[in-house]
Amino acid sequence: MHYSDTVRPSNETALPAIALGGGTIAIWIANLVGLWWVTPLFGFLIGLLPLPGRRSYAVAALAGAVGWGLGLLWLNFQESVGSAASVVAGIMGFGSHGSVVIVLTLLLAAILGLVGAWIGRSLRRVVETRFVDPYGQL
Amino acid sequence: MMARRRGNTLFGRLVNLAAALVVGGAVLFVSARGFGPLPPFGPAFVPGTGVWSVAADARLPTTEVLHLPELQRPATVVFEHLGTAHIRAATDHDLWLVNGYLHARFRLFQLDLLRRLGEGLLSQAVGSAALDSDKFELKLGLRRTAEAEWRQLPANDPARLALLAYSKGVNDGIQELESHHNLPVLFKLLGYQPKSWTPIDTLVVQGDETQDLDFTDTPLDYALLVRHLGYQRTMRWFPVLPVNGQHPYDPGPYQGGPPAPIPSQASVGTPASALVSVLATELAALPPGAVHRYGASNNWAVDGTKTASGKPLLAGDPHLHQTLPAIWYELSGDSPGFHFSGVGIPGTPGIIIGRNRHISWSLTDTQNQSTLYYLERTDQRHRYYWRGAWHPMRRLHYAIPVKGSSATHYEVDLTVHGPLTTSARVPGHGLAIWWAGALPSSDIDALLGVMRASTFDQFRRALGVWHAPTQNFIYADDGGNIGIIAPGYYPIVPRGIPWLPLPGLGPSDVAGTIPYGDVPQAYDPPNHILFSANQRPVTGAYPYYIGTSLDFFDTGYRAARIQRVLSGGSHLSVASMEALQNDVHDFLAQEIVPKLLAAVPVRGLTPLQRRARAQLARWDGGMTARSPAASIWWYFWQRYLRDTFDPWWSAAHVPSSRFHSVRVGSGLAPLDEDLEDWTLHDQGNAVFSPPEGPHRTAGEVMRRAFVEAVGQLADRLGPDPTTWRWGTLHKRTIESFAQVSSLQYGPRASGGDPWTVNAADGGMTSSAGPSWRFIMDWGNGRAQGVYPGGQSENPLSPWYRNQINAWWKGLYYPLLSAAAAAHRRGAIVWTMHR
Repeated sequence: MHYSDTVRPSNETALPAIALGGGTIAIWIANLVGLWWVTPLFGFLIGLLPLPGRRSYAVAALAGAVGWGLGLLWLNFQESVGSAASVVAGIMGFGSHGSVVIVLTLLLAAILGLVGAWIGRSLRRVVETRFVDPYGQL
Repeated sequence: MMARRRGNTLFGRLVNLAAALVVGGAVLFVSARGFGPLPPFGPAFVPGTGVWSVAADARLPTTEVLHLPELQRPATVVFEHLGTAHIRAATDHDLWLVNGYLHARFRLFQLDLLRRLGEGLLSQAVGSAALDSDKFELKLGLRRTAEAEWRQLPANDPARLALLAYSKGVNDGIQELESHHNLPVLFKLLGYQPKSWTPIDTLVVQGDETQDLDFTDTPLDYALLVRHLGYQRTMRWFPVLPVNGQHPYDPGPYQGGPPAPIPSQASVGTPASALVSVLATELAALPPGAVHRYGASNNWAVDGTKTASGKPLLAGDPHLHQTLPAIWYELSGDSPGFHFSGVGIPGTPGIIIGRNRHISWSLTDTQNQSTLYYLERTDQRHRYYWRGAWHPMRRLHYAIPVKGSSATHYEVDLTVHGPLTTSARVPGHGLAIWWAGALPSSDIDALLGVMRASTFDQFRRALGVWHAPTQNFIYADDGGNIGIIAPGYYPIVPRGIPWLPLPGLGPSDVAGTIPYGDVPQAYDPPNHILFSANQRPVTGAYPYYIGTSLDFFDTGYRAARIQRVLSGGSHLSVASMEALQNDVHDFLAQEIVPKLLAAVPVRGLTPLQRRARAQLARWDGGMTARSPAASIWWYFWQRYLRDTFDPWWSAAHVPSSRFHSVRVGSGLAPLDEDLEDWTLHDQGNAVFSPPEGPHRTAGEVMRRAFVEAVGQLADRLGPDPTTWRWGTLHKRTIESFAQVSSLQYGPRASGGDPWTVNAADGGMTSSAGPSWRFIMDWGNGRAQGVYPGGQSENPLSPWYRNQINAWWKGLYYPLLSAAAAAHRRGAIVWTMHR
């Protein structure tokens, strides 16, 4: 067992679940006012957390996709997201396949979360190596 | 195991961090800023404020109270269910302010695109694909002209005040859309925000329209034709005065001096010819609308002696590129100084076509020559030779911002005649462009005067400051009068041949313009009708040169049809006007088909050809979408043109494959007129016999063309002529203004052709035609209109294209006053306060 990935067993599921729930809501609310960069920022913060294994990636990607997906779902209660997607797809040269735009949007959200998590986790591991495990033995 | 261990060393983790920073940084950078053609994905697609707001923005307005900080007094806007807006303002300032606000709320991307087009800033928004257009616009100098116009406006000039108020309104609209994250979807996908609107932007938009209507390359075409066909033959086939009558609305008598003599011989030397090729190539690459191509638009007025009501009727349908959103925005305005309704151009205040309480008016393009080209002698020290001395050119430096790359530096050299085109292939020479549209014109002042006028005298006086584009303004009033006048610059060149590139040495400089009192005009004519359809407005006795038969003036077939219907009519009504505006009878076909039938007797034809001939024999010239005869006629005429002229073009090596503007076809109007004339009056003309070929007559060429046309149609549509419907071949598309094909309407089977009153210009898939149909009945004081589009540019809005079906069916909507609109069912009211 690696030190950096060590958490108490009770936290193995609780912390990721809390992070996922909190992150999703934070991303959703931030997106309502256009703060798209909250998604990679959240991923970065998740990456800094000592979650077991590579769960930080899963949490960041999922929170991004679900946060953005919730935003679209919320919009769909008021307007037709499908129609908007079709218009955008047409302009971007995807014909009338609005679903492509929706899938790409969710993929973008997941990628933003992932790259944030990647940077955060990489930074944490360097810091841990430098200050916690100066010999790089962990 | 080893790999994992390496990854856990400090070095491995640093490498991982570096990779994360590089890859993650790249992803975040592209997401934030975009890259090349890619939009900034983050802000563009974020659910709350990104492209998804296109759906929310499409919601129709609701009755509500709005706050505009610059308003002087409370104002209201009433929206009809169609989207037509009616402004009621307590001051003139507020009228223009709300006008600007409405344009921004419903047409902001169109506004921005129009100003970018004219200011040479398209590349900044869309990338290097627009660089040629930007360079040309900077060379032509719409922005320079707009700045000069703005500088010339006195501090308290009504146009200056209107432009300032209008700009404030647009900026209020921009601010509101930005603060609600509701900018049009194309801003979000292109990744930029509109900058503030200024009065100069409005004047640039005015310049865009002037360019579309007034900037021509005809002297370059003449130069190409003269170079290859010779001057005599060119002028015989492309004469100054058309060979057909054209029904001028101003038949004289004329004032002014006698016309200056024009030499009958000329040639185009090598330097000019090479420069013509360079410039013609440059112009051919420009987007639609940069060079005036199509001769179209109709307007007419009949006085009370010919109408059922005893009061005048006026009708107008300007033919322009038909786009979504349309070039028109429909509105009415009521303020202490103004009471109008009609259509205006987004980006400019007020209306251009419409009515007020006492008068009504509509426009067509006069199409006189407004562009001249000068061959300049130049040296390596950036000088040009003029009036016996060398003069320094004025050099302007531009940095064109280009999306996704560094700015492109571009220099424009100006001579006394205008911007210069040069080529490394022709050292020591350049071709300068003199264009009336580059001279300041007080169009806004003129339109404000027109909107306020209540008599023809006031109307005429107001238009005295209108210089470009030259337009035929038709007029009818509640006093029973009708009139027409074509204000604008008509350049007078004292020496040289103005339809060819002129020597830039001085003697051929523009000496002035036709005095306003002498420009084409008529008032309460004895035949009780007035009309213009881009035909030559004056007879051959007119003492000034104003242009030739080759894309300055139209063929005159629409004018002839209008003349035939109006002069033969009595008790004319609104229904008569509607029928004429939607008329698709081809005047030329009605003239020629009897000659064709005589030239192609039944005997000797194959069964297929007989059936095709039978279609023509019972045809009335109607170019309806369902008509097989229309297809046969059109294919026949195109073949007839080519069979007659192509041998001459080939023998003379006219570069028609390189320059489409000189290709044999109906784009060269004088060839239609020549062939019409010879077919009707001179069937033995030598032109029917190819150079060094066998002797032929018109009849023989017609037979050949008929057989070829039937063969082509059978190959394309099958062996049954009853199924050769015109609409199968001929379509109409309402294109996207932003050139996005998914946002266009059509193509849809369509009747009409370039010569029908209900015109279809732009080829077999037409993209130009009646952009607005307007009828004013002074018998009951009511007006009606329709345009193929809608008031909103948002593709999801119910007002995006809600008038297209009515337009297509020939239906109209009433032009209401604000008071009448407020009482209509479904009216929406904005109450506006500071």
